[in-house]
Order: sequence, then C-alpha cells, then structure tokens
Amino acid sequence: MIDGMKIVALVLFFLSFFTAPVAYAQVSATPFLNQLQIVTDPLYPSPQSEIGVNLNDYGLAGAGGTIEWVVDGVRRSDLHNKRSFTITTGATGVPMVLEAMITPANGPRMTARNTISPTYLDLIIEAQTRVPGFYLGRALPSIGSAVNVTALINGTAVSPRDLLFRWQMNETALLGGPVQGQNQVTFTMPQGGATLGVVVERVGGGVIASKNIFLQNAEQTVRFYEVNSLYGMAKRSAERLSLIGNSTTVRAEPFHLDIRTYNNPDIATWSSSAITLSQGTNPYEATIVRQAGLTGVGAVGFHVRNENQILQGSQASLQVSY
Amino acid sequence: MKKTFIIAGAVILVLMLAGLWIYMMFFGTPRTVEEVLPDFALWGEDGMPVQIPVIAPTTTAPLPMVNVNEKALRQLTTRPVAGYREVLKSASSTPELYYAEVGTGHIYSINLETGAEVRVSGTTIPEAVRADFSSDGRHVVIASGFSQGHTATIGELDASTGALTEVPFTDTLGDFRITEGGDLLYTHPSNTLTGKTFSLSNRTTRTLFTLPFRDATISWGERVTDTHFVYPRPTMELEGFGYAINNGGLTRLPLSGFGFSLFGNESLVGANFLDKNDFVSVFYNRSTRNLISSPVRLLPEKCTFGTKNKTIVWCGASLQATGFGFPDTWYTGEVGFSDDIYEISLTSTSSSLTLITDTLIETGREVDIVDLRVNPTETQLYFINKNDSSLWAYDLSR
Repeated sequence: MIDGMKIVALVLFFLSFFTAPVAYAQVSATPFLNQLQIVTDPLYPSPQSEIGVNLNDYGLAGAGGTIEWVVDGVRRSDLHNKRSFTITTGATGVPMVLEAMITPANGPRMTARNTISPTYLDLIIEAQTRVPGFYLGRALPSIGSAVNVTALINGTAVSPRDLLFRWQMNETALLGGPVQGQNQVTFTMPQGGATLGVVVERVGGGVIASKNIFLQNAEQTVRFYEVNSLYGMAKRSAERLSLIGNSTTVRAEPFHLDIRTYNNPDIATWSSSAITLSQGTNPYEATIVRQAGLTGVGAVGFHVRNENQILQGSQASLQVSY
Repeated sequence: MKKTFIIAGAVILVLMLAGLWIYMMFFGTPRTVEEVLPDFALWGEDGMPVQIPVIAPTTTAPLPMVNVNEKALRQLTTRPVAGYREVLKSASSTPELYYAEVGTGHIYSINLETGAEVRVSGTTIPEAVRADFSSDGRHVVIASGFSQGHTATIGELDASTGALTEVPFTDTLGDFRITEGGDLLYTHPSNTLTGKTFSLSNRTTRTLFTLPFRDATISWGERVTDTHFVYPRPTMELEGFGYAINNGGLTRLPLSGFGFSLFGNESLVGANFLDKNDFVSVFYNRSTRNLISSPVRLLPEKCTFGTKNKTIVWCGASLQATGFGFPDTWYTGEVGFSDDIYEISLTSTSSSLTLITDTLIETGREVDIVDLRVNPTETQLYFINKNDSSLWAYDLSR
C-alpha cells in the first residue's frame, strides 16, 4: 500500500510540471503571484472610460524582447513594443480581452492575458440631515449625522443578492466583515470626514469592482426666507430685508443640520438689535415688527445648536432696514 | 303801530334764519337744488318730495384681460403660479391656459385668443405648492404643504360650474406629472422611492419601479411606457449618476459627475455636471452612444425637448458664471439667473444654437426661468419666473 501511494505521489509530481506552465500563462489580476502581468489603472474600470494598461514584467525575462498586443482578438500594430498605453473600455458588461506576447531575444515566448469586464459601481450617499422641502438639492452629511450608503452595481449578470460586499470606513470594517447581498450600509460621520470603501466580490471568489471615496463634513448654514401667510415662503433667500409694511415674518432654515438636532434643538434662539421681534410656536419663525415712528437699520440673528455635539449647529444674521 | 309791525317782521325773519341755520347744521349743505327742494316740499306736481332715481350698479364686472398679442414675450400673470398646462377641451375648441395659484389652489383659465382670464375653480386647497393638469383640462393634481411632505389632491374639474370633485387618493407625492394620455406619474417616498402611475379615468394605481435610494429626482417620459430617467439629487459635493428606467429595470447611463442632473426623451439625454472644476453640459445619443457638447448650460428645470421634433431643445440659460457652490446655491435661492431663451438643434454629431430672446432687454427684468414647457403644436413656450412665480409665455410662431 505504501508503495502504491509512493507511485501516486510520483505521478502527481511529474504531472505538475506539465500543468504549471499552462497555469502560469493564464494570469489573473492578482499581483505578486505571476511574473508577467497586465495591470489596468484603475484596477476595476468603468464602461466607456479611458484606462491605462501596463505590462508588468517582474521577472525581467522579457527584457530586450519584442512585445505584441492583441485586443479582442485583433493584433494592434500601433502598440508594438509598448509596455503601457491608454485604451477606452467597451459598454457595460462587454468584456475586453487584452493579450501581450513577449518574444525575448533568448528564450521561449511568454504570454500574458487579462479580461476586463467593465462595471459600474456607484456609491449613492444619502445623509440624514435636514434641508427645506422646496430644496431640490441633496442633503449633505455633517459631523455626527447618520449616513446611508447604497452601492449600485451595473455590468454583471450576477444579482447583488449573490455578491459579497466588504465595507470599510476609515480603518474600521463595517458590518464586521464581508456580507452577502449587503449593498447598503449606515454609519455616523466622524470628525474630519470619512474615507469610505467597498469591495464587491463573487461568492465563489474574484473581485468584480471596488471603490473608495472621501466624504467631508458639510458646513451647516442658516438662511433666511420671507414668509407670506398665503403664498408661503419666498424662493430667494434674504441677506438684507427692507421692512415695507408694519411687519413681516421670516423663517430661518438650517441646511445640512442633523435631523435629530433640527427636530429637538438644545438651542434655537432669535436675537435682534434695534428691531422688535415676536415669536410664535415655531422656533424657526419670527415676526419682525416695525416700531412706530422709527427708521434705521437693525439686525436679526438666529442660532441653532446641539449642546451634546457642539459642532452640530449654525448661526446667521439678517440685516433689516425699516 | 308801524313800528310794531317792523319789529314783528324782523323777529319773524330772525326766527326763520335761525331755523334755516339749524337745518343746515344737521342736514348738511345740499349739493343740488333737487336735494333741497324735497325737504321743503315746495315743488313737485302733487306737493310730494321728488324721487331721485337710483341707478343700480352693473352686476357683471368686465373680465380681466391678459395681453396675449402685444409681444412675443409676455407676462401672463401677476399671481404666483403653482403649475399650468395648455389645455384643449375638444378638437374644435380654442386652446386655454389653465393655471393654479400658489397658496390657494384656485384655478384660472386664460383664453389664448382673446386674453380673457376667468376663475374656473374657487375651491381652496390651502398651501398649494405644485400643480399639473390633464391635457383636456378635466383633471388637476395639486400638491400642498409648505413644509416637508406633500399631500395630494386630485380633482375632477367641471369648467362650466367651477366644481372641483375630489378623486379618492391617499399616497404622498414626490415628483409628479400628468401624461398626455391622462395618467398621473408620481413618486411615492417611503423607506425607498417607488414610482407609480394612477389612471385618472379608471382610478387604478400601478407600481412602475422601486428605487434602492430615496433622494432621487425623476425626469418623466411623456407616457407611462416611455423611458423615465432618474438621478440622485444634485449637489456639487457628491457624485451623481444617471439611470434610465425601462420596464421597472434600472440601466446605468455613461453619464455621471459632481453636481449632476439630466433630462431626456427616448433618443436623447441632456446632462450637466462638473468636469475638471468647470460645469459642462452634453447631449448623449442613446442609439449611437455619441456625446455632443452643448453650447449652453442644460438644467432640467430650465430645458424641454420638443413635442413634435424630438431633436430640438429649448432652454432658459444664462451666460453668466455659475459661481462657486452651484447648483446648491441656486437651489437655496442664494443666487439667481437672468436667463435668455435658446433653441438648440441637434444632429447625430453636433448641435447648433439660436438665441430666441434676451429677456432682460425685452422686459427690463431679470427672469429666472423654471418649469419651461412647449405646447403640443410647438407654437408657444411657457415658463415660470422663479423670482416671483409669475407665469410667462413666448410665441414661437412670430
């Protein structure tokens, strides 16, 4: 029995010599394992985008040899002897096959191959911060606010439910590690911003796409708008106001304030100089009242803040001529 | 004796003068002789006071008239407008422009031939902010609520009686429009964003698509079955991406960037985004996959494709620099534009630009164009001036 096993081991050992060169030629995009590699920049390109292609010859076996390129089965004479060039990828999901053949001065021909499957990996950022109802733009993340991120992948036939998502925010792995089908994640914006990254892999292995972005904390601002009791809020914000009638109502609208702070502010105060203010039940609204017989210029201020997260807050002032 | 008569006569005269004085003090100075005489009953055929005929005021005030014929570019309303549509009640009727007033939801009609404006519906829908009408004018959708979250009122309009009959509808509305075929397309925000259609004729609801993200803007197609386009709400701080929605599926377009927005039809997509620190606008041909540079800034709020000729685009655009922070600063109302109207003609490889009108020169006012539309015959452009929400028109046939 032991002799039989020795024979099997010897056969397998000799077989590996025949299969190794074949495997050696079929390179993947994983570095450090193969000496001849075709590497793209970016590593996981998007469709219809210009990418850089580099032929990495770590073993220097091809030094002094000629380099021929074949793109999608077509020999490219314009890329003769080039180790790097730029090329435009195809449409979504349409693969591009790159082959490089090095014929050294002394030695056998070597071939490297890389198949690019251009894929869109979009990270859609949605912050849980407050913007007014008329605002057509997107709410931005600010310090301490919750941020929802959705990864949308286009260009692979694999359903997101069958993909592994590995999320990372700064140095922290979110969700404890790769999770199948988890293309959405929520985190709290730290001070100094967040570097968010995601790697999308097949369950059986093989990275499809990856992306890293930097999110900075948005500055929270307050803008003032005149309010008409019938027609609602003006569409242009005011930095200066001329009091024509006896009174006017203004609303202070914070932008990108954490929605929890907006709904329950520790500080939401109005201040005025040389102006009479009256307030109702809405802490973000005040009525400026003309004082009879007086003319001049005054100022109205508004301050909103979360006392537990002192950087969540803003203040602004409005000049009023009366 | 003679002396007595004189004194008596003088006393009587004094008493008469005193009585006259007292009368005039309490009853005022008569303006006309006729006003004096009846009080004394001195004239009249039968000695009775003369009756002054009372002229009854007319009960019908003349209709307010909108000048629809003076210039190609004209302001149609001073009332702020929540939404409008050129309607044709029947094939033989005169086109009318229906609009809903902000805040009240009252509906008015402007006869585009005579300029007469009438109030079609006085039903008040408080805090009306946006509206749309069906092409026959029979239905109106009004979103109300000055704060976040709009409730919807769908009404069936009887133009002859002014009655607005509410159609049962409970969903909250995001982006919406009514198609030419009489279907309401709308988004329903919840944990995700769902696109739905509500048939105004048979009052059934159907889900068209569900988006995995909520802060999205939809550019609706002309019909329910057309391609609709979606993108995350624009901001210069975050990247946006364009998608086409067909049969409930989301397909990524090769268009993306910071400050990204788009609008499109079945063959062309117009997009605006930040590229290397400057905003660029391009047209993307969905068939040939070519990108065509746009000579003016394309914003979905300020542009519209032709209804008959799909390769024509009209845009309100300004050549002034956007400044740092665009488009966020425009959405907050911090900056505004003084827009001109341009017509862009597209071929498969190029675009050509024609200036239609310089609004500042024509009107002396800054007009910040939003909600630009062209009528079905491509003879009129309509838009709202963001500065005061007034409704304007431009006659393309001149």
